[in-house]
Amino acid sequence: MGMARYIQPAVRELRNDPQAGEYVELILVPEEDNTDELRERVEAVGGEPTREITFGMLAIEIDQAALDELCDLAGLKSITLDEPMEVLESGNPNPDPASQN
Amino acid sequence: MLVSRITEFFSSAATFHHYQVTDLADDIPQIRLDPFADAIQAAIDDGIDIVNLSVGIHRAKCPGVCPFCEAAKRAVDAGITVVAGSGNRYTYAGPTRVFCPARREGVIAVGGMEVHCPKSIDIPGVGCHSGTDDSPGPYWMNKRADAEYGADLAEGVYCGQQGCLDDDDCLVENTERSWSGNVRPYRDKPDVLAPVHYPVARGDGKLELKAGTSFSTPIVTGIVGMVIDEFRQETGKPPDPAAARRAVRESAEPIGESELRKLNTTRMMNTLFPI
Repeated sequence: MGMARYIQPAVRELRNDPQAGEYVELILVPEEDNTDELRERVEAVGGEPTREITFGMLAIEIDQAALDELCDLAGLKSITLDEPMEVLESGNPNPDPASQN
Repeated sequence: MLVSRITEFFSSAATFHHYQVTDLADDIPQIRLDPFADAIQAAIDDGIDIVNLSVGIHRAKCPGVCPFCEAAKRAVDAGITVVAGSGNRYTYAGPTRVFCPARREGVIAVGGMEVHCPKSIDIPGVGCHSGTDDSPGPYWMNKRADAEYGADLAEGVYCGQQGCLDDDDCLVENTERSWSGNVRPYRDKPDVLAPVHYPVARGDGKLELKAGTSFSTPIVTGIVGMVIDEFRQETGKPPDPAAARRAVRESAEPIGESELRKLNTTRMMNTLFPI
């Protein structure tokens, strides 16, 4: 039985307390670039591949009740939520200087 | 555009490629995986030497294998030096460590530092010339309580980094410290710190002082890009990303009494070109 090197904590929480019938969108990063094989394995555990992403990554949608089987799939580097990055410019909550030039 | 302007200041002779990864019309731009991964592939295909990533996401306990880290890894594997912001503490609630993809092994992670000038703005003719007109004066901010972020806000007199009016050495008068908005370290990252503030003139005539590792990262990218170009002229090819990162880390200088370090261009050059 294998397991991804990294399962995002938020995904672990859903796995530990799944809501059957509620779906979650995930990104899978495989150890090897073999999208066809990955798609088959995802479908075998009840997941639905939604789109292929550069570098062999795969976006899927899956019932939370099937997360246990998905997380036990071998050959995955990571399983994470499909969420975006931020632009790192909003680190200063007090942007107005006291003196103006 | 601000990020590009900063990078171009330090690497004015470079050829720049811009890859759009977000809708610039959005109030809060977000970068989804698909366009980001495509942009990295395009950079690989274009033979880019160095990539600036003023973007990131906090993923607790990611060992550098999440999708964004994977894309950065592919760039590094292809010989591209990747420079990424280590993250801003106020982006997420709760404690945060170095963001992805900066935490990916092989990526140069950049944190923020503040440069203070102790010269008083009340003394006419003394202090850093940092104004948008001929009036001298450093940028400074008052510390005030904020219900959301607490009392740990920027304070003090900041060097405008455009020189001093008197004859004293500006570098002697500067006081540097780690930025209060830095995230917690992750393993041996960030690799280096760089100035984090960027003043922007607003339409009402006032000044807004932006801050974030978005602005410190392109400083490092621009300088490292300049060094990479020198290396290429000497050897016919750019240094591999591991050598570039090693040179940044080994040449960096400590900031005050901390273990955090700032970039030192001269020492970096000497590290890559041993005499």
